[in-house]
Amino acid sequence: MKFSDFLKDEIFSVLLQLVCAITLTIYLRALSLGTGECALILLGWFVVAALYYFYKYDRTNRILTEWESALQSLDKKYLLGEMLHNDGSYQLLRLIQILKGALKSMTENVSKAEQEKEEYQELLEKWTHELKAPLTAVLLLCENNPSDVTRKISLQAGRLAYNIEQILYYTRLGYLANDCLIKAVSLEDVLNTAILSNKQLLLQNHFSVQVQPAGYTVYTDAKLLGFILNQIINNSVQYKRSNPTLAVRAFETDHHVHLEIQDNGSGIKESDLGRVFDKGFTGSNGHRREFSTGIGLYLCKGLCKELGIAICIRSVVDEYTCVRLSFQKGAQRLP
Amino acid sequence: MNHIYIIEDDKAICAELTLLLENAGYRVTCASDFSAPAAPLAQFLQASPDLLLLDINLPNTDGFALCMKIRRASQIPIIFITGRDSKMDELQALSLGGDDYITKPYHIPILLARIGNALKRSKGENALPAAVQYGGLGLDSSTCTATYQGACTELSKREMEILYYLMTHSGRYISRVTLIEHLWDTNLYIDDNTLSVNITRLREKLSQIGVHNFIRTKRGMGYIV
Repeated sequence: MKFSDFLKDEIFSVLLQLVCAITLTIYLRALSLGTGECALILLGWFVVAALYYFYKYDRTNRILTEWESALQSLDKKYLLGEMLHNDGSYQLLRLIQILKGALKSMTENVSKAEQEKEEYQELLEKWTHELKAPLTAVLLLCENNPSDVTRKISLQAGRLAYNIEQILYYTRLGYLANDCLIKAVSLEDVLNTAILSNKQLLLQNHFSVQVQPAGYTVYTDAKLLGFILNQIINNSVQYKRSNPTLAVRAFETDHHVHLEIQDNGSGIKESDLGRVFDKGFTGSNGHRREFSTGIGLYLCKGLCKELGIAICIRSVVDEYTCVRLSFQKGAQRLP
Repeated sequence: MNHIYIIEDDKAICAELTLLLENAGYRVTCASDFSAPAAPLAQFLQASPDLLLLDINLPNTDGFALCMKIRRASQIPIIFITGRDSKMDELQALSLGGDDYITKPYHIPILLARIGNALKRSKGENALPAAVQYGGLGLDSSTCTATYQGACTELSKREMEILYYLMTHSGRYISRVTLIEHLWDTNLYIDDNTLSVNITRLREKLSQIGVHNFIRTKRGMGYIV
């Protein structure tokens, strides 16, 4: 707080003192007191008043900075009430009490909302797990009775599974750090699993798939990586053009192993490239396809961040989209 | 014939899994009694199978408790199949002596491969016989060669897989889709055009060693050996 701001607050008491000083001077002059004596009294008054105001300014300033720094140091700002202490002023005591009352109700609401969110999340997880059993039964039924119809059913069941996975990982995003199992993973195994999980999707969309064999091992969570690959493959199918292809290759540089998945689909506009990882972003492509949620790549980005994988996309409209995942090699030095 | 035991309370999954595994050449038994916590265990011990597929969420008990009890009596491979996919569950399953952990909805080729691997580890045997014979033609999948009356030709991996599948399903029409799906299951991602090319090449190689018209085609039905 600047001194001028403080004076603005105190303007009435300052004015009152001035009026009193002028009145006193007029009165003392009427009592034919000398100019020197009057000046001395006024000077004395001025010094006392100035000391008082400086003291008050300093005290107010100290309290304000103390509160501000308390607020700064807090992780959860709404707990400020607990950090304030009173230096004996009754006004301040009341102020703090009022503030604490308001913040307490706020804290209660926050913890209630958090609890509700947790319960909701648990329920959602349970539900999605319940969905998996009938889905598994459907997939097994299709496998046991191969025909053109069951292949189509299998494809639709696969879409269902894909969306259920999305829900699960969306609810877990941010808590996943506790649920990762990092170990040596064969890139080829994860890749083959991901392609096989989308077998009907790729076959029925007449995709030609080329996988360059590469015996790289990376240190990551196989299931999460599988989910990321799933999202990328599904995107390629969603934005395919005629004679669709999917080419996968892996290579290494000094510190990284890279995995590139390239399709020959409709591509992403340059102006959209920076935003494809944003939540809910469907871009100019998405408007053409109604079932785009704009969640897939957002999830990929989030999961990659938790797994320490760098993800980037290159694309040319009407030519290709290429997603690159880069894994750190550092872990290989571990005993 | 390997005997697989399934402890899973979902009737539909149980029935389909049984059918699937029987088609894949296993003998299968499902646990049917979940009335008491110890009931599936007693049934299991009576059956003395070669491999166990175990669900976690079960009525009256759970897969972890069962796994712990089974490990006291038996060292057979146990594969968990479950909808629960948190890493804590997986760690617990593996630390209690489970050999593998597969989450629903599982992909059938992957499930079969894992079962094959687990059996191979426990018994040291190959899931598939390396060599097959049909109509005088011999196929050795370990060396990728076909032999007929002393003449021998080398096949590519794709050609070998195609021929192997047709020979092991001889006498039946195999549609192109089925063939492509099977090749995908063995991680050979070929499309319709490539399949035609591979079949043509395979036929050429077979005629070179004196086998003519071994693979026949019927429009709309597929290939037959």
